[in-house]
Amino acid sequence: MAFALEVPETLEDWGQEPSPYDEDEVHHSFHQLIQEQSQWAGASGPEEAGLELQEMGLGSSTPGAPGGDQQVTPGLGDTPVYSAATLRILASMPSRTIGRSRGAIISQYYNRTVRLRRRRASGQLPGGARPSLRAHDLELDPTARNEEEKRSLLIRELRGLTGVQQDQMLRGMPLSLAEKRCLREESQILRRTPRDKVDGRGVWSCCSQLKYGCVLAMHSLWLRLLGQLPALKPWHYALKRIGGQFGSSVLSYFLFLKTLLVFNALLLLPLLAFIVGVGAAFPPEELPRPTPTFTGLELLTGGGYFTSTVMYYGYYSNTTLNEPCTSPLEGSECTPEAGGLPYSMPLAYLFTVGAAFFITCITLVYSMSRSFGESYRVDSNSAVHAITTFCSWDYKVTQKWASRLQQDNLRTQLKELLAEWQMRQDPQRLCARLRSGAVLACVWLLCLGITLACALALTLGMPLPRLVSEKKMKRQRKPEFDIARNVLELIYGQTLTWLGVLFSPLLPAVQILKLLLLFNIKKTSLMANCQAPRRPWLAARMSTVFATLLCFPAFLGAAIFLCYVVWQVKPSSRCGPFQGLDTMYEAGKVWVLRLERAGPQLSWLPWLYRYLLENTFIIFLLSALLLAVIYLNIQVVKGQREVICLLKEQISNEGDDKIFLINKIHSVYDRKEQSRGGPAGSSRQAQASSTPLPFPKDPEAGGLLLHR
Amino acid sequence: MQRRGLAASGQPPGEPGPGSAELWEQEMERLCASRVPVRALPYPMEDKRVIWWLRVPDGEQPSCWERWLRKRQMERRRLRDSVQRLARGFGLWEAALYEIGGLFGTGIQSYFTFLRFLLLLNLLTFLLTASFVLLPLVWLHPPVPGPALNLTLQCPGSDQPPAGLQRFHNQFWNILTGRAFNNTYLFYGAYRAGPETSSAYSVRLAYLLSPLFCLLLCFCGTLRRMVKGLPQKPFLGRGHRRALSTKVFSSWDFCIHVPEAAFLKKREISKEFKVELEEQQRFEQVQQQTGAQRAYHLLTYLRVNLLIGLLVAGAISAIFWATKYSQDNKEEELFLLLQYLPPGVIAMVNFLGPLLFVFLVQLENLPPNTEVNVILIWCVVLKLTSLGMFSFSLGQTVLCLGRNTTSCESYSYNACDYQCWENSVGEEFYKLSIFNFLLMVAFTFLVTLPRRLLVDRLSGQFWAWLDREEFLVPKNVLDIVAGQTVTWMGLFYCPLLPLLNTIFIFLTFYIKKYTLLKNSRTSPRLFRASSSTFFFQLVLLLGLLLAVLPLGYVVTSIHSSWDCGLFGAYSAPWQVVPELVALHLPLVGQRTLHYLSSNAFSFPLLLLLSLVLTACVSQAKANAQAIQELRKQLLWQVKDKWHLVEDLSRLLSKSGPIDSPEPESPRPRASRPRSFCPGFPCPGSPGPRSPWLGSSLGHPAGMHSHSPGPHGSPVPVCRFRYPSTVEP
Repeated sequence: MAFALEVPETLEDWGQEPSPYDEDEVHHSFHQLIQEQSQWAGASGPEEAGLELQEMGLGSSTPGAPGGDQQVTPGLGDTPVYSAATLRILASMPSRTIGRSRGAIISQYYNRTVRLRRRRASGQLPGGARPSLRAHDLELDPTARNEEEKRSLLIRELRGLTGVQQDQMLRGMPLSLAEKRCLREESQILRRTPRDKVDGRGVWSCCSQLKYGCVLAMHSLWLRLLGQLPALKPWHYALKRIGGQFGSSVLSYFLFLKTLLVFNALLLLPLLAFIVGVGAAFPPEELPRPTPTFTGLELLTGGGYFTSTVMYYGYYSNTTLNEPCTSPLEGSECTPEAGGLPYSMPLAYLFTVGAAFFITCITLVYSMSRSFGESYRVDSNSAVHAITTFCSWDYKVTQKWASRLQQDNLRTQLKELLAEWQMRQDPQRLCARLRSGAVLACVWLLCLGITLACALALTLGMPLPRLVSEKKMKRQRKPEFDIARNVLELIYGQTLTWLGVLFSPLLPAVQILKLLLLFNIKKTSLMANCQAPRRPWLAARMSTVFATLLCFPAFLGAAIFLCYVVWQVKPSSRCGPFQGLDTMYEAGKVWVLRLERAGPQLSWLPWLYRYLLENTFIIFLLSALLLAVIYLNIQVVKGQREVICLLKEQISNEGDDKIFLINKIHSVYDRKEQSRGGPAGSSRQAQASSTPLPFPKDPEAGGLLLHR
Repeated sequence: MQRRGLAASGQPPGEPGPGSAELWEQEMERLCASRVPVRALPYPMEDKRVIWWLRVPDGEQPSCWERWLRKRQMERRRLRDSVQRLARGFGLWEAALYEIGGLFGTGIQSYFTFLRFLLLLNLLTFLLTASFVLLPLVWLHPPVPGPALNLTLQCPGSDQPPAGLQRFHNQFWNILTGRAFNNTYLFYGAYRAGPETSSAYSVRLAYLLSPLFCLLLCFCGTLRRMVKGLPQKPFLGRGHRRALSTKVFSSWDFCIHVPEAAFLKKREISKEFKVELEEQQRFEQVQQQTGAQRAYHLLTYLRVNLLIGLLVAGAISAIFWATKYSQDNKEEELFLLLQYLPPGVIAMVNFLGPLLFVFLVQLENLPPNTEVNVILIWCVVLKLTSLGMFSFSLGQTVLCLGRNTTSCESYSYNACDYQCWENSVGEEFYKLSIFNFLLMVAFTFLVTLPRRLLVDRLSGQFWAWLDREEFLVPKNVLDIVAGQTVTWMGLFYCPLLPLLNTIFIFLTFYIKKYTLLKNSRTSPRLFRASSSTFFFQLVLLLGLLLAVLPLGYVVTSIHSSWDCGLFGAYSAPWQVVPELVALHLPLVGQRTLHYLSSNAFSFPLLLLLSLVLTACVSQAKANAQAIQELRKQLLWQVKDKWHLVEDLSRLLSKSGPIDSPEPESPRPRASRPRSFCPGFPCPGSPGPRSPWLGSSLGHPAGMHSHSPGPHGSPVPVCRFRYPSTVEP
């Protein structure tokens, strides 16, 4: 039964004319399709039921379940077909005519215009402007007027607005362009007449032409700028192609790669400015050993020549640069009134790494929250098929290759959607999915183990570039693109970078290079060697999974490791900025002591340091407050879930009511047909063909309606 | 519709016609097949019983296992019920609360519930302190205090107290000032213990941790209660209003069987209606404002707030100077009166401040809603900052914060003027607490009661204008929150203060109830219980925070008095913990604790928490969006339904005379539409009158409560047209 209801929907949306004025055309064409459908219905089982209505309206009744069918067709036999009149009523239901019913739109905008005008009037002349009684009356009952009247009223109200407001209002109306133009012409003609009478010299048109010319020029310039925008986005076209050919799952891998690139760039910038730059500008006086010659092999091992360069921790000294203010950005260290505070290299090292991590954390949290927001959308499934089919075409696409790309994209998306739908139907597939998830988790655990093992070896900082470079050379030939493994490798590499950044400040640069290379290699190999994945996955959840994996184990693990190193581990006593200290954290203490000795001008800084950083009481208090807020939020989410359940239940109840009413209407029509006694009533098809235009058949109703 | 079919399950389904019989059968089948617990089904008791019997398979006894399971379930439920009863204070004041709720509405009831909650909290705190500190101390027999260490201090001025001071020291004053209890367990100084190695149970640790633990407990309790009163706005999105019909049809309590209770319930429901309607009116007022009006309101708002802010600053400085003056002039003759100067000034400020605020706010002609909020928020600020100021100025005189006196040089506190500074601070809080209570009692019996008597006895314009006193919930709540904050602040110096506060709250309940029932009238402005509970708890939480900060500071970084109390030998009370850890814990535990308390742990913890918070917030946002979408969908569904109903009723009214007399004639059906309208279960129906109006004005669905009935008349069948019907 459900698809019989669904047919008009499909037809309406799929109809050739998108204009809202051809309702009758649509109704006319219903009947052919209904006939086709009713024949087709006999052959196909109930599984073919319409997706949208089944989920929205029937709620509880799944396609195979008993109950739904019986409910809807109490008086009928097996053929769940409705008469033309019923279908007409259905097609004119408010939810089916959203944005179509011109009368409703016009009355709605009339109301808005009135409100806008009145607000303006009351804002300028408080108490002076007497609102017209008639307008009040109309606003109370706008639906009682017929359309022409409403239209003229709307035009009159539009005239009351200023030009800009009028333009805005017109632009926002969901009417066709011709209609809008017509409305504008009429309202402007009526408005212009008195003004033309006043000055009557034709200056207005000249001025306005100039103005409109300027506006148009600006607009076209803006459009051109917008056209240049994709050039600013790197790999825009490549990503589109990948998405079109291989689906969103493979695309999500590349997007993830891009995100990682941004993270690394953000990490690199402060490091470059405050550590590497300063370190390179003021090299330490004596180097521990003579510089080995560069042979080229060092690119892979990272040792040898690189050991004593800015690449590694050991290069940097614990000196305090006594020059006044090498870096003006770090205000806390370089306040001019303190008489040129020294730039303490250890402290800069510590703070810069900390700040870079903080920035990364914020960015990560932001991106995670965005992807969470996308994937938590509760009922994105209910109409997603219909939306993808009918509303996802981009009408701005003009070039042929672009449209082909988009076609590819859409096709792949639909495939994915259907695959997921099927997967949900089939419990065995679900098992397979679970298994794949388990495999993923396994692999990830393995990776984490390796990472941790690596982290131990990492204190030297040597093996990292080697690993990275090995990784990038290794993968060239892949028969099929394995997203999970590739993503895990990416996460692994990123974790290594985060772990090693304290010991090798230029590691993010290496990572950036690696990612750039990787992108191109992967893309080429994907295009050349791989096919689209046989089992397309939907990527909506995947990006969330990637972000979570990146955030919780990888970033958090790295952060914990670094915190541990900074606070607990004794740094090497022979090299590096922290030589001679017990822990890296003591650099801060030393600096505060020095500040205290320096004078009382900056006494608030040590105070802040002592009570906010060193005293864990404040931090734990803050954690408790955060916990409380989290608890509150969790409760809010719980409550929202309940509300969502209630709303869904209510909607399904309403759907039941609708079905009940439709059946009633149908049975009333049926009985009417029977009472007329004609043989046409028994055969539905004959009846349908005999009433191509359902309206004239019902003159009484039409008259009644026209009267109102 | 189907539900109604089931409701008639008692009788055989012959009467309503074949359609409903089918529906009934379907519904029964569905119910029997589904696994939803019978208790959760929305049917009357008889129907539930029938369903329950239908669900049990015929001729099959429940197995032993099932019976056992059911028994366990019952036991668990009983346990849960008793725990809930415990949480509600063993039904303490249950009848009184019910009476108040019925007579005065949930807003005022929530104040008394709040009192009960605080009573339980204080009692719990006291029990904890007693069982972990007092009992072990009595058990262990503390050492007799040896001769005080005779440390020579370079104190300026003379050490002899002036002779005139003795005059005032009679017993009554001593009790009021707390001097009489100076050597009892009421104050910090009387607690003594041997060195840590002497016994396995560390009284010091218990003394230190029990206040902290109590505060934590209070924090959790408050938070939990706060969640219960969470306003519904975040759930439902902005602009949501519950339809009145839900209140009309679902607020009666069917367990009521005493006429008095029914009367109370009726009054409660009518009060709720009033509140609901008032809120709706306010909401509509806000909706109709224009931009310029809004800007004007903002300006007025800012001006008022600036003015009140200046007033608050003045009040706070007054408290500061009063405390300083009373502490500086300890040797004056009028010391006893001066002793009560700071509490007096605080009380004065808190009494005059709100009056002034009301006056100022009413001058500016703000909207009533904003008016209440502004006054309330500033009252909270005044109350809490005055307490904070009081404790700060105490710290300044006692602990020499921010000034360098010679007497503070040897220790980090003013060792010349204060032999045992914890006792002095404890006395201050004790005084504050007693003063609050006495003030409340005095106000009740010396102001409110005479006023009521005068107003009732005398007639005249002035007396009619004066009227009885209004019972203002926010003011009372703020008073009680301030008292609680004082208790929390003094918890460390005066461990038995919760007991005192328990007694006070217990008495306050009866006094306030008496005031409410006999002496005052209810405020014309009603308060919603649901939103006020949240607010009360929030204020309480702020008070808790205010109490925790100085406590944390004192415990971690201030030297205790050297010749009294438990922590004389330590540089700060918290030093006990590391010493004990080093003494009793194995090395691994020590390391772990050291790591847990260091920055290396706390920073990642902070990071983790913020990540979790982000996830929660984004989820909440996504859910709110989903709710919005669903509501829109529901609105469209309802509109569709009404459209169908209109069509159907038009069809039926038209086809009525034409139809031939059949056995199943549509004539009885023609009367159906009348019963449709009121029968629809949806509370959010926009009603047949204004579907388009509703959508065009952008009102949420709940704004319209549908008026039953108009369908009987043929006139409003179709008030708007659809293009499909008119555009041939």
